[in-house]
Amino acid sequence: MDFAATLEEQLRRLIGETIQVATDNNLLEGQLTDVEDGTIELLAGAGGYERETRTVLIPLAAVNFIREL
Amino acid sequence: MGHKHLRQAAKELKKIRKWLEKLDLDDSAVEQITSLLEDIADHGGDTERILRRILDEEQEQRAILEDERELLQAILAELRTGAPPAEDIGDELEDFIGERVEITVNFGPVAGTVIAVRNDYVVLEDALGRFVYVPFASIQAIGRLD
Repeated sequence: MDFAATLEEQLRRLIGETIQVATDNNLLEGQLTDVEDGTIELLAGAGGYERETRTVLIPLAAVNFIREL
Repeated sequence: MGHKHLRQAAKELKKIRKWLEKLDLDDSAVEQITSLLEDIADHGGDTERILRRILDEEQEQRAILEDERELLQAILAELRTGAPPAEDIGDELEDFIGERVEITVNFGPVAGTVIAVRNDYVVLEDALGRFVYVPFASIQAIGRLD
């Protein structure tokens, strides 16, 4: 398996995939839509029963870990 | 002052101007020196006195630069004694490739097999075969499992 040199590059390769992002006290799940200037953009489920989604921006500096789902 | 002297003085002034440009002086100092040079050009008067003032000005600038150098050195020394950069943990992690580890981050522990170590992150494979990317900057502890 080939991984990019930096996390930001590696995440760019994962655009379109569903991932799980852990921050200090939050676990977000959604489709990775963009990675730019140290920020990742996630299309995450808004929760509840509705099939609603919302865009979430997470600074890479706040990421504890990212899991491919 | 004879014509010959004036020409020589003008030459010297040109040299001084060039030399001043090369020096890394702040704007106010350059302005001050330039006005002094203009004084010389205008009056051709007490050249020695003015040159001495230029010299004093230069010495003052040197002292300021020296102070700045000392300050920067002190900052550098402080930085050196601080914690090593996070990338250093990458070298340690290389030794764990292929082994099962538990990495503690603020969120909690993440367990998996170390698959790869890159510039600023480590890749684990968890029990379900999913890749987990952990940035060095968020690592608090690494423990070997098994």
